[in-house]
Amino acid sequence: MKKPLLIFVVVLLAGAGWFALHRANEGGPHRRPPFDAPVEVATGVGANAAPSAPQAPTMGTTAPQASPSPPLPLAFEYADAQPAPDGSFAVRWDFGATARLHPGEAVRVRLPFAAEPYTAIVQEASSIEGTRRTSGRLQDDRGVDSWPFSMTLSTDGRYVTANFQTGAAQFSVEADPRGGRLKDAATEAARLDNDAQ
Amino acid sequence: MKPFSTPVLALLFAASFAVSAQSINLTPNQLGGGSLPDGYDQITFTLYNGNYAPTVFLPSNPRDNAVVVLRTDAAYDVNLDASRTDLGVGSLALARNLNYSLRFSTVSGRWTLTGETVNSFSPLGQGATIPSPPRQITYYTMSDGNWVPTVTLPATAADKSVVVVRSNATSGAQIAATKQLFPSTTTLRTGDAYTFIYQQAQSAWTLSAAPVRTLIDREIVNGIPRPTSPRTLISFRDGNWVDVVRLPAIAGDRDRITVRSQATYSSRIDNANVNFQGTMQLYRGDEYQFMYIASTGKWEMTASPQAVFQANDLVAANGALPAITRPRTIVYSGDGNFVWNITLPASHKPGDRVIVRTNATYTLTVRADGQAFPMTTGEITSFVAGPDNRWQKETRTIDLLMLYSDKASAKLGENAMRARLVEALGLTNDALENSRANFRFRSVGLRQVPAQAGWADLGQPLGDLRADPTVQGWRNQLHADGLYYEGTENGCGLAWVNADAYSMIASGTTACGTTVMRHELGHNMGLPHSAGYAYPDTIMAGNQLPFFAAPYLYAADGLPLTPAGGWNEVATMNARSAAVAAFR
Repeated sequence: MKKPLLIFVVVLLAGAGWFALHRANEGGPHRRPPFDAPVEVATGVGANAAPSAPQAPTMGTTAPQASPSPPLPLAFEYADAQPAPDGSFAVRWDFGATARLHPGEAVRVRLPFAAEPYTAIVQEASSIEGTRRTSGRLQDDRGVDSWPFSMTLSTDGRYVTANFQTGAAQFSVEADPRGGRLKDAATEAARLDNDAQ
Repeated sequence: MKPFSTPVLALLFAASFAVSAQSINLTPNQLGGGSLPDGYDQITFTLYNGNYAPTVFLPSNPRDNAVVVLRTDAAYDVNLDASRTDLGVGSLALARNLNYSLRFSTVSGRWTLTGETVNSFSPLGQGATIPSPPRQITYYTMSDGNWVPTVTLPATAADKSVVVVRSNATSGAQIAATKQLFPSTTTLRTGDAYTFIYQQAQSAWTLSAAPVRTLIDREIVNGIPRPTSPRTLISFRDGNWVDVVRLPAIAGDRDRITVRSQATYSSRIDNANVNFQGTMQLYRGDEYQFMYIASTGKWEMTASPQAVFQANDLVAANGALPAITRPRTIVYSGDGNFVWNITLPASHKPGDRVIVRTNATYTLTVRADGQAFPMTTGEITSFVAGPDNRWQKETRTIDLLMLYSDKASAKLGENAMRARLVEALGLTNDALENSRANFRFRSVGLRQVPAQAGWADLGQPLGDLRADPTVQGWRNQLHADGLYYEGTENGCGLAWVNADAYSMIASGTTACGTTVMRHELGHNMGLPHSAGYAYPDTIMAGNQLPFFAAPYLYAADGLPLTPAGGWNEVATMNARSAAVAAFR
């Protein structure tokens, strides 16, 4: 993987169509609310996941053959050119794409301490206090592991806070339209404290 | 495109540094960090006090046979991003005052370490047992004519030493269980490589990397065979699929199996040999992970998918949930996405769980087995099918009033502060769900408070807000059992330990991330820092993993999150949750 031309790198690429790889069930159509109230939206993988093909064969050789999958976009990448003295990395974030991510979709995520990008599979998206929280699993394509990730987009769509767990570290991201930083949260652990009553 | 690869930048380098034809000596201050540039046959990178970077990143697009020599004399720790080496670890702590030499091969696409920190052994030179104590890094390599049937790891080593055992021999071999903390299935086939890390606390080696055996349908149609590696992957696609997956009765200790699907047809994972008797259907996009625990002779389910429903999906069925398909089912409700009653399904198995999240203005009622459980806005409630297969409510609700200071709002913006607190609360409840705690937190308010002039450190708001009449008025009005405050004071996070109703307040700052809340609320719920009493990266002992420690939870390396004689943090919090939920 070549390094980017810019010091910071591309992120959640725009275009919901890009993300339509694993688009799954997202719940039924919205009905009229039973009272006059704002609409609350939450979606998730597997809604209405009806048992499929009860007459399916017991082994896959006679099951449908795979159709070619569209390539996954490289969605988010840390700026590997120059980490800052505090160990953080500059990032740039596509806020529109974050707002359009749906459960069942997958994007590529490149993070430090991993030679290959991860596949982030969105499992849930919910609206809380006007924000939009998206969460799912980060898969190591060549291994057997996966880890949680989540990101919350502010009400005005101009700020995101995100967390990516990997086998090597816990990364946090904060970004707004001026830019953003990715940090290894291990640097914070020693600064967490408590008081006796 | 690489940094420093353009002519302009190359000229700048030539002008700035002592550059020979193909090699260069660099320091962090010259680079502005620890990322090494491409374009050189040899880079010597030296770190010392006053000229330091916490992490060294190797050139990402190096030439064949490119060499990097690293040395740190700095007092602070330096880590190497080792993900592009052949070590099988993500990062490597660099020892002080030693030279590390790395050479890149375009054939393997990896960097290999040599030099005074590295042993390179083989059967002809050292026999079947790797000598101890080894250097920080040991490669043990077998090939045809230089082979033994069983390799034994060093008896002792320095903490976090790395041993890579690899074989290109035609004949298979084993890595002896001796000195492995968990005797997993460590079979060597041609091309295999295993990486072990020495754990001084346990005086034994744990696995860091192992070959992944990918099995296809015809190999598992009669059940998954006994593993030949600690890592087995089954990945269904159309044309590679079976309808029932059965895990093996016997495996090596801490062997792991992951089952994924992108197939059109669904599959069922049989409960035989699994320490979970609930429903395990496998649909497109799903993933299950299992780890074999030799002491119980069962596979623990360490990750599982979930089915998600909207309340609106249930309107046509008068709120009745359909039959359970996954270990966990989530139902969302809100304004515009609402049913008055949700009835849990009759078709389920012991251990199945349903989680209902409501943000609806009106109260909804969850009904099951003749019981009724009203839920109000903001609540997250988990229901589990008990051993008698009757649904029971698993969690209670602790209400939080979440506060942010005017200074924090001025720094990041009002919307950003609210997003931070939502994400932090989400992470906290995710961790409680992962850890199977018997309570969840609910936000009953998000409000701004003025930071007082004397608030320099978090200790001041932590003390003052307990008696602040405005905040306590809000707290009483909203029936908030506790408070969480985020400001711009010095510090990262601070909370009262084992808090009573008066002191039920935790805090964080905008200088740190959103994982702080789960740690600090853990203090409120009675937990101290648990270094030495729990797995090192759990929430109260490093806050890297989204788990509180409990003996029934396992890290990826197989260690239980609560070791024998350690602290069961989940049990501690569970014992307090009813009292805390009654604070207001």
